[in-house]
Amino acid sequence: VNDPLDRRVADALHTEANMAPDPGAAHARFLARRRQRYQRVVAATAVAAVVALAAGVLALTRHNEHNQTIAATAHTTAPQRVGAGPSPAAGDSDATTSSNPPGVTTSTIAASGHASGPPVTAKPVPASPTTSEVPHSPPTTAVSTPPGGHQTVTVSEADNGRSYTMHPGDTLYVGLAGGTGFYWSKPQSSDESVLQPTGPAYMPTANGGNAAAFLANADGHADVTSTGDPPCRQANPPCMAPSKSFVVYVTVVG
Amino acid sequence: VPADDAVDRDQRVRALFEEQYAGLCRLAYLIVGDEPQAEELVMDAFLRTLAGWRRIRDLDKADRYLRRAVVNLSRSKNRRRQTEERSASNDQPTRAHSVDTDPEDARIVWDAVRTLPHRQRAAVVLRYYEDLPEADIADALGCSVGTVKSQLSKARTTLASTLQGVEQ
Repeated sequence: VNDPLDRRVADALHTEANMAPDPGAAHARFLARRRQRYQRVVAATAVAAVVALAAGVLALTRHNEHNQTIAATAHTTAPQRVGAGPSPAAGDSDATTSSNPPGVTTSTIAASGHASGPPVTAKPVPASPTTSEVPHSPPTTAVSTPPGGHQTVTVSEADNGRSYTMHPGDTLYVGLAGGTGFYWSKPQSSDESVLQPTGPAYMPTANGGNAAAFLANADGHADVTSTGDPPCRQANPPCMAPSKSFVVYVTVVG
Repeated sequence: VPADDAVDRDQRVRALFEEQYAGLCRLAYLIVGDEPQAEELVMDAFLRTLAGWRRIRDLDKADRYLRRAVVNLSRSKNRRRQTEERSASNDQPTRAHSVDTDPEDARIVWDAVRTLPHRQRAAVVLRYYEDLPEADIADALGCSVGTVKSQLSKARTTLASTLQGVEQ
């Protein structure tokens, strides 16, 4: 700083900078403000934690409601098909169309016992609660289709454990909706001479749904069964999570 | 944090205040031109710098961190001051002067320094008041040594021109 201008500037700055604050008082203010800042951080962290928890609970609730809605929708729109044609997937909402061959009427029995579509003579049956266990004894109430004219009876998971009385020529459609966390096996008839598998061939859906159709062939009794496994049961080694069983009891009378 | 460490830390913070606070306030004042704002700015610098106390590996360099924080914070403070100055009258406090300095000349030069842009003024203050080498000025301003040289050169040119105009 030998230049005259530099000296003038340095002198001016040193002259101007003569404030003398109190470091002790400043230190006390510093401690107080640091404490306030810490308290603010703690409060903000607590608020953020509460908000995150509430958001998580809300998201979980919505997720559950959404799943229930999907399950209900898939259930009430379970596909029912008779005869040949493209194979719809069980549980898919766009697989609700049906094509009836001449002379065949179709009726749908919803899980709640309400009938949709054309009026049917089949009486609603009190549903046994849907559980992971198969009822030990079939319900005594049965749904019967009247003689004359072939009918299609549609059952779903909600009809687990029910009994049905059908007539030769009637069709039983079993649609087990997916998206419930279980993967259903293809429904099987215990006596194919009584209840014969019929077309079309339904493919299982990616989300675990499955379906099958059966033709009432001859007088007798047959059970239609399926097993719903949680995905981890398919792993190697399989988990021990419980499976669900589905069964309906069918009596065919001429 | 162990109790001994906490005590040691508090003592060092207190010592840092004793050693650095007044000087940093004067530095901040020369950059922002307002005493209350300068004190507030230095307090912010202490809070911000010492909030990361555990992250500062070399505690002996705390003064460097503090100076850099003061210069950085002064940018926004300086902007606010300029806004306030546009709407308020320019009533500067009467200051004491050293014996060897012509108070009138010091006032003229100080007024000229205050008209410099922030970065040039900060460079001038760090050079002529803090007497820092260019490398340390570059560190405090967060720029290269070349930029410091350029800023100082521009500032000197502006000051020379301004002072020449005032004297004529």
